[in-house]
Amino acid sequence: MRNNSSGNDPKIIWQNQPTEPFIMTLEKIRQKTQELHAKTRRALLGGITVSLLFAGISGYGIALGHGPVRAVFALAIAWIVAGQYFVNRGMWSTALPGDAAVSTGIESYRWEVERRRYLSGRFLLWSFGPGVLAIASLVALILSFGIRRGMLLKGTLLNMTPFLAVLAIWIVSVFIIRMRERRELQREIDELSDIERADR
Amino acid sequence: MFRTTTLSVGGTDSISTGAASQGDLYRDAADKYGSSLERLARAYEADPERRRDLGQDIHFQLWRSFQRYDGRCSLRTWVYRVAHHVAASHVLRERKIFSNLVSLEELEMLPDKDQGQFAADQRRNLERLSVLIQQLKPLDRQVIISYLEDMDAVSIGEITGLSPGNVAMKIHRIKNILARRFHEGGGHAE
Repeated sequence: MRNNSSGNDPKIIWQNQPTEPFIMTLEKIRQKTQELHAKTRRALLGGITVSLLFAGISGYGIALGHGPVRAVFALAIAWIVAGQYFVNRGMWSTALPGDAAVSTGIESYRWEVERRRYLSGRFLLWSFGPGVLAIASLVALILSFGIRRGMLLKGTLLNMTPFLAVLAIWIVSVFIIRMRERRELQREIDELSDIERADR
Repeated sequence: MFRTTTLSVGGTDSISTGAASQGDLYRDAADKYGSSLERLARAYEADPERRRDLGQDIHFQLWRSFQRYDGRCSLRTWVYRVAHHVAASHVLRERKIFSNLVSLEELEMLPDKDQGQFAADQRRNLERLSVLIQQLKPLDRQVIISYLEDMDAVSIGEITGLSPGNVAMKIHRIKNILARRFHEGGGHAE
């Protein structure tokens, strides 16, 4: 590369770094498999617990509400159940796409970025969406109770302001963060497309 | 849209059944490229604890991948493709929301904060080199790691999928960046 003393040549520095060779034994492979299964189970249980919570809120809403409010809560439960199916459908997938080793770095990287973008969209549609609907319906239900007890809508809303403000901030933050993440991932996909186009 | 694969390793029996060539290929690859894989993990993860996990993941996925190895590409290309994929996937997963990885082109434009404070000892230089690599986007990281592992443009192209011309241009940039940041007595690359 250039006239460089070995202590200053990046290639030599890089190649001479101390390493501890690692070999995957059958025991370690078994361990790793169990770890992966446990991790997937944990994620699955976490998702189910949150969904049950939202379904519980909706169930409570159905029990207390009436007419169209019940229908909205029923819709939220249906959305939650469908969401669990769609979110967990690809749960058992592992980090490696089918042809990761056959595809080149740019292809498998694009696959991974597209997968992340897809998963992010799926979260918004099937996890976040029904959750927000269930919470919004519950807020509407509480408001209707307040009104039925003779409170004015304005007064009830004022009483709920701190809770509603926190809720709104949470919803907007999650949405903005996820959208920003999707935008960044899309930008990366576009960059990869540009590279591929320029390479042809 | 994204097909899923299930783990075929359930217990002792399923590991040993028909896994002889897979195991042999894996051991061969681990013997030959074990050190390179560890260096690669270092380029993708700064935290030692997570780096060890990443290294194990790479080995695990490599072992799995040999179920499908058909010799269409060289063992080295196969090993690096799998390793880079696992590592790039790790970067995407662990990426902080507001982190900002840069491309080689952007890195070339960035001023070197430590310029002139170049350390003489190898450990600090290695640290500096690792930090520099860890700033890069995964695709550019693949190129610089392969370059540092002494691969030629054709091999780097095989691994990354970039054209030889594009690889050559990136290597030129890498040399400029490294020459600027690892200068000693004013020598120039090439």
